[in-house]
Amino acid sequence: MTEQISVPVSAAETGRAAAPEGRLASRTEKDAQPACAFEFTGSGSEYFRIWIVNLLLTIITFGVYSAWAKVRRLQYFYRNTRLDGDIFDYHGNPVAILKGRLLALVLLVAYKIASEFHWVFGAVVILALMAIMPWLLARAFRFKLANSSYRGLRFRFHGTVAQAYRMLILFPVILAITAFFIWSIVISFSGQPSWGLILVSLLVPLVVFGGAVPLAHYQLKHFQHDNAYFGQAPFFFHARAKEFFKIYGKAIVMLMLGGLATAVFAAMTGGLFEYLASTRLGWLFQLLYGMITAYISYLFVRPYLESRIQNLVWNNTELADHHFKSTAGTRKLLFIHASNLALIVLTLGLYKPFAVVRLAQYRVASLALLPNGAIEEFHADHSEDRAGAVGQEAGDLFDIDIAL
Amino acid sequence: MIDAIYFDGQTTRRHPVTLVLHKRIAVMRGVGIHQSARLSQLRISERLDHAPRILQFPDGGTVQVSDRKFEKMLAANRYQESRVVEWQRNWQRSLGALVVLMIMLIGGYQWGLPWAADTLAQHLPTAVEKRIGDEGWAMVEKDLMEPSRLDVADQMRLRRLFSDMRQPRGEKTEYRLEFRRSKVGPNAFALPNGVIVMTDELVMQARNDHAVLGVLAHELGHLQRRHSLRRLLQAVGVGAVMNLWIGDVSALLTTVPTFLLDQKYSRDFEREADQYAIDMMRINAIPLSPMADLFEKMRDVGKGDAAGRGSQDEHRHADDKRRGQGRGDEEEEQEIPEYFSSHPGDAERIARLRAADKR
Repeated sequence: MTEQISVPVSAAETGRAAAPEGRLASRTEKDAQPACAFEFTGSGSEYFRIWIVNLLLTIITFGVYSAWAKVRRLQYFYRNTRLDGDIFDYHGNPVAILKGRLLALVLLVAYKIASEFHWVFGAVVILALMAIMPWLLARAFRFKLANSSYRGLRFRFHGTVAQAYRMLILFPVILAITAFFIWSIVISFSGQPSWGLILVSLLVPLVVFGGAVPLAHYQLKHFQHDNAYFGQAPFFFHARAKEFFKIYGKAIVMLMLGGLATAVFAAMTGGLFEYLASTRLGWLFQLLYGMITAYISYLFVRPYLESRIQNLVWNNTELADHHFKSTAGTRKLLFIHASNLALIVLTLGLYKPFAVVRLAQYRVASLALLPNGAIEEFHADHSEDRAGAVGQEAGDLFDIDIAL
Repeated sequence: MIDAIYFDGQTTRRHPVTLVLHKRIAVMRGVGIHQSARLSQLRISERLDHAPRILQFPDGGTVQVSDRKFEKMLAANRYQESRVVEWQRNWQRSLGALVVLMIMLIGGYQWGLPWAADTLAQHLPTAVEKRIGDEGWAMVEKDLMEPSRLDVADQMRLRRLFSDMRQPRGEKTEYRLEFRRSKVGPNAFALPNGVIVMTDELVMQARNDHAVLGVLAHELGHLQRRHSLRRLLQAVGVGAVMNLWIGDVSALLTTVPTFLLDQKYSRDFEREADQYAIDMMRINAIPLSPMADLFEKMRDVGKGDAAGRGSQDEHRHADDKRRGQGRGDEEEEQEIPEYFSSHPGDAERIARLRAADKR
């Protein structure tokens, strides 16, 4: 056994010893080294069958199978993601996931019952959840990365819970303070509130969210990416909060312009709207009109945010001395989201697996690795990951899926 | 013999190797590499159409096999793929799963979920319902109700008449009758804590004790059959399946179908409560036509009423009669399909009451 292991290790040693000269020699080639695009090889028709069987077994087993379903689903997406000819793999243990889900279910039921009794109970549960959210996220990241591998090497997440609290508690705290502030204002609405008060109670949360959301998103990505490792090789994250603010600022401007366009459209079609609203199905029409308008603006802003944030995050992430390049396009994503949505509605949901694969295909393909030298020079980290025994179930507690 | 790539688990270096599977033993050879393991010792990843298999050796090394000939080698060595994987790989059987799923979902919606909710409701402590009802009643009373201005003598008479009535199967359903003046028009509803609320407006509209008793019997039916709790449980079931179906794409997308599916359950409960009222009235030999007259009257009033006004108390687990009535005329004209409504069409309900009287 020892001999078997020592053979490859010594081979690696010699490889490493040889590396410096090899690197010097290849320095000039390095610049010409082509970008390694990520590639997604899955197909909608294959995933459809996995999805439908997963769904049936999940329902038959009253959700117990959902943990196995999740592992099969993630394995499908990981193993169909390729880099430089080799695939990623997912090693999550379904039993650990099942335990996490059971715990989450218990908490969810507790929340539902509590909030049925009195909204204060519900609010307390929400606050408690917010308080443990950083811990949950740290566990989830750890579980996810510790169970991901490429070329036989595991990823790692070394972010500590203390770090998580330092970086991630900001958002829930701001949220809670704002909620309390608004609540106290609303409570003080006695009889006729002045317009100023109403305006304040509407504007304050807007301003607070405008400030808190981009910052929280930045902190989250920083925590997530800066603490990740591939074997012994660390990831670095050096995007700045300012850039998150810029992207969110533009998104808000887009939303406002969207609102303007909607207003113009509504004014132009006012007559028609009034006529439709006065018909027998008027209440339904008004409801649909509101929902569709909200959804359309969301549909436009979402791909913008998604693509820009993905590009920002990955273009500012490094793995040791390798860079990434992300080139997701807003228009392409918009097209994918819109057509996916339309087809899902038309097929009563049956198109969903195809839609998911289509989206994954585009998002994976928009990412590339710009290697500095060979990507064979990563080494395993043999320190025991304490995520093992204690953290695994908790890590998957709320099944927090953080996208690539 | 096939070509494969070996990773030793120490570095990301690719080691080209050859792999042989013979007599259920895997032998791997490469430059400076020679390993063998029994097939049963290997962890073999599931088969996918467009991705290589990964074989994990006991020592942590992995072999990535892209060559499709490997499948034949596995088969020749009696390797048994997981049944689920074989199912997923077969189109006919996967589509069979889809058909079974559809049948289960439709059957579950039609019979399974109502049955499960009913069974569960009978095993839940009444304390749960009481707390839910108390909370709802506190809110309704504060926002939508004022003290009743009905003559106390009238209140007493109605209370006594109703408490003297026998329940259809001799049940002793607990209830507490409350008279209130309504800020939202004529209405009557039952809350899961056993409170039946009768509004002054409805009593005035009816001008007939028998009609009021009929409405009270309908509300008692909701209580007796524990409709509030069952509807809550059924909504949880519908929501869970909807969430599983398309929830990960968009939560908003699930709202419309969930709403429509829930409305059918609401209509079923209304029919059940109507039937309860019919049974109760008949066993006490009280005519049902006054109740039918009341429904007709409210329908006609509803014609001049703004349709949207009733929607504000939709979220309380209250049985909002006026709203159903408000739209009643529309239903009669067959303008609004029934699926959107929380109550059956007025024409249907009135006809049923009158038919019961004739028997």
